[in-house]
Amino acid sequence: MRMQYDNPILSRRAAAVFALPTLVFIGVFLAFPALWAIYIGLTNLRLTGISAIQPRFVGFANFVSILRDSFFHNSLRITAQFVLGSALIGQLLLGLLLAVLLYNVKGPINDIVSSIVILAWIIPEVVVAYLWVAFLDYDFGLLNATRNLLGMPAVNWFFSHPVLSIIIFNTWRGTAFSMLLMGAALQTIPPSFLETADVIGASEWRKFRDIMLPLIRPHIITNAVLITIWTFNVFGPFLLTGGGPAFATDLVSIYTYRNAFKYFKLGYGSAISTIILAINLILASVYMKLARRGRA
Amino acid sequence: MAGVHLEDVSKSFDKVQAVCDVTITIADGEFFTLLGPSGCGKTTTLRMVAGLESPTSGRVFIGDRDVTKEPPKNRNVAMVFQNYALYPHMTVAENIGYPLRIRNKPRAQIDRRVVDVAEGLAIGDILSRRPSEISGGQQQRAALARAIIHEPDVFLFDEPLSNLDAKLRADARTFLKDLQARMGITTVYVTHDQSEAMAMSDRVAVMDQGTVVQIGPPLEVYRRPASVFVADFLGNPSMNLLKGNLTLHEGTPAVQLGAAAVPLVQPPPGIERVAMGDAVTLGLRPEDISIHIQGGEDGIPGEVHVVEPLGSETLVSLKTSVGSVKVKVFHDMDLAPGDVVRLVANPARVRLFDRAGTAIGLA
Amino acid sequence: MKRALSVVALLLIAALFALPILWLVTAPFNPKPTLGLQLAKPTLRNFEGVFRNPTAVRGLRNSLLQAAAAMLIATPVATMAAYAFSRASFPGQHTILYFLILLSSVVSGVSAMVPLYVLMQTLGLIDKHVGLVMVYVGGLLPTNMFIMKDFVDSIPRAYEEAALVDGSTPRQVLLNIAFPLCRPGMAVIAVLIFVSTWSNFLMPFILLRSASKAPASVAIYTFFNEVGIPLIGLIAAYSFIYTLPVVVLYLIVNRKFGFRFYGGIKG
Ligand SMILES: Nc1ncnc2c1ncn2[C@@H]1O[C@H](COP(=O)(O)OP(=O)(O)O)[C@@H](O)[C@H]1O
Ligand SMILES: [Mg+2]
Repeated sequence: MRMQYDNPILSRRAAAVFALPTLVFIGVFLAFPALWAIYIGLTNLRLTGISAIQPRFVGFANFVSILRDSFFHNSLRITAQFVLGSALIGQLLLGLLLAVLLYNVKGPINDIVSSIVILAWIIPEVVVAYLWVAFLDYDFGLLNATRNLLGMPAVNWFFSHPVLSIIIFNTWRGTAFSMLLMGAALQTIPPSFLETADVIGASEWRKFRDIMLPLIRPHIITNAVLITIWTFNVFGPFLLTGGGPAFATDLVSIYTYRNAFKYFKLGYGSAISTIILAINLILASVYMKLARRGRA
Repeated sequence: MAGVHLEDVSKSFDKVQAVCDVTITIADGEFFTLLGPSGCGKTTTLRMVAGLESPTSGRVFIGDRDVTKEPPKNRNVAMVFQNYALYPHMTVAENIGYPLRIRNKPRAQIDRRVVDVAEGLAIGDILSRRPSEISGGQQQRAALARAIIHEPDVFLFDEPLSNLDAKLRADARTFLKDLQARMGITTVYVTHDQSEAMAMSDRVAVMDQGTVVQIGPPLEVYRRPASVFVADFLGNPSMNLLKGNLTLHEGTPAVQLGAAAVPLVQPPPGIERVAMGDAVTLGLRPEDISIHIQGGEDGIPGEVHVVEPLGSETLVSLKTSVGSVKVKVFHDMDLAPGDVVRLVANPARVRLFDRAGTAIGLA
Repeated sequence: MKRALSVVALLLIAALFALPILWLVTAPFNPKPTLGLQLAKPTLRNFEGVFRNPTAVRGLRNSLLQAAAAMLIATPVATMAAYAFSRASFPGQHTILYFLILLSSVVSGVSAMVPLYVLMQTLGLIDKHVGLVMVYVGGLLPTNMFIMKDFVDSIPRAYEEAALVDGSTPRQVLLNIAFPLCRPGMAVIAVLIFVSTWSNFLMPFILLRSASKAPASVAIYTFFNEVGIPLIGLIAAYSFIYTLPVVVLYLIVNRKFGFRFYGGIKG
């Protein structure tokens, strides 16, 4: 039995033509570079000099040196702290708290509060960097000015607490996403569930723990995986600290940039890219598995 | 003007067989209804007539033209969708005029026709509004106006009244039936509401699990259901179906229901197929049973369970030894729960089904 | 009581979030701008400084050019694909969509900056607006295609089917029905694409070289005097101007559609 004609709204042929430009763009500028990274990572390609023109195949040499590089170990450790602190503790908890609070409060207060949090999320990266440089400045910054007012000594934040500084910075920057996502998740709870709890006299905390939390748990987990991927791939702190002082905020993203474009080691940088891609792939597969289960 | 003919039409989706070997011939100008429970394949059948779905096998004719392979635009049909599908970005007037616009009719002619048709449907005053700004009843009429404006050969309706509330629905039903009769356009109407089908149609096809199980004029199908399924689906409340065995009672065939025997005064043709003692199902419409209060020997004994006065009639539910029975009573009767009565069937209206649920004496 | 507590907690958090932003709304108007907060004698002199500085003006123009180009290309391209994936069914569709989602989260700017640089160099597109825009489009397409697909999925097919039965050709269905119905969704992704391109720093930082092509995000790092002291007034006013379109677009989208997610991110 042959199909007499296919989908009357959009024929297969038209659909293929429609999808083609997207697939070409993504293929050339997204999929291909990801695959090519693996290959370049196996060469000694450099930004300048002879190896820029005639790169040599070096096998796994780049990977071996990366894994032996103590700067890389340092980067991994800092990145782990950064992800744990700003994504899993900062953004997730604060976003959830905001969403729950906003759930109870409607009207202009809701609009104003969520708009301020969203503002922190949409202001261009470079501007945000200047804002935080100013905010945390030792001599003039608002934070130290406030501390002085309260009789506390000024702190040189980037120097004394470099990782904490970028963790707080990134929490501030990214909480909006979790807030919005958790808010949407809370909206999926039928109000009657909570009203029933009200009728039997459950406390706010019990309502949160026994009704809201179990119902939105799948959303919390997917959100956690998503912001982990993004935070792992963040470059913004570079604009704040440049990776310093003394490599104290040398995230893997900054480490990659430094090696590829400051030390001109494109092959080496590409090998790091491959490692980042592999980590992203693992995290994304977890996400896809969760998302799929959520839909079933 | 044209009739519609479906010949051995089947449609399968990936896993489901939605429609299976449907053959229907609809006469020119006929109001034909596809009736059945949700998921039985009515919409799919209708969409194959429209050309929105292509049959996996079989052929579709409009008039004498085989349109099986034709796209919708070559079929000159019009369809009213369940949620009307009025284009939200166009005004009511633009919606109604759309079929003429794409046929490249002159602007002035379109405008004139739109006003004519809209006034005929009493929506002339809302032409400049958007679909979101008018009521459900008005949307329904706007969709109807869009369907009739280009004088199609066939109207296709997919549950067009199901989004209206009860009162509007009754009005729209009358209106639609009258409109169709005046225009005389062949109509295929899909509904799961048996009362709608009964009220409007020249003929109905009852569908179940992708197949047509009975075709006929509504009263014929109502009175002489071809199977237990049809008997149960049509009528509100539906037909009483009592399980018993075929016996001989004083020389004539009868159905033994517990202690009572219901004689078959007019045994249906084909009763010979059933052996004495075999299981059969007796079908009786609630209005074809009368309740006898005085004692006597005939009929089935029963006890009144619930009495529901509905105004024009009273619905009485009773318990009997062979299950519960519903009876419609049209005159005043003093009945109270607990009363013991006898139920007597109208012998001319008794319907008999064999063990498989097929009516005995279909014709 | 419970509401009052929530309100207090919310206002407290909002205040903490607002603190770093205060500088952005005070410093640009400060006659003697520092990294601190002062509100005395507001002036527009810093803004004059921006418009007298050719690098600054060129930066804004380049940002506009690059963001507009990415938007004008990616919006229709994403919409067409979204429409195809929503309305048609073809073999391998699910697999393609699965890989697109996977790709969009695996290949980030950071993980792809090195191979993208090498690719652009090989294609001779380093330091070219075209190259940067292509990279933007490729990176933004998956996410925006999915947003658009969700949008198209939410439009009942009955609209197009009604148009077909009314006598339209497939082309007429696209032009008269599908396109107008898709417009609100296109407006949303156009804004998203514009904003993310306008704000991007990493890609122009890596793929462009000449100062004459630098967008605002990169140009802002050249605002130092001869001895390397940052020109705070210029930077502050420039940041303000550079942020303004993003905020305005946010307010428009928020008013028109409500800035929310529905039922969470879909896979
Ligand atoms: N596009 C489709 N894809 C897969 N299954 C479908 C599709 N359309 C209908 N079906 C299935 O075909 C059967 C008949 O559907 P339908 O014709 O819509 O029934 P009805 O209109 O009588 O409720 C149902 O089981 C339905 O799930
Ligand atoms: Mg249906």
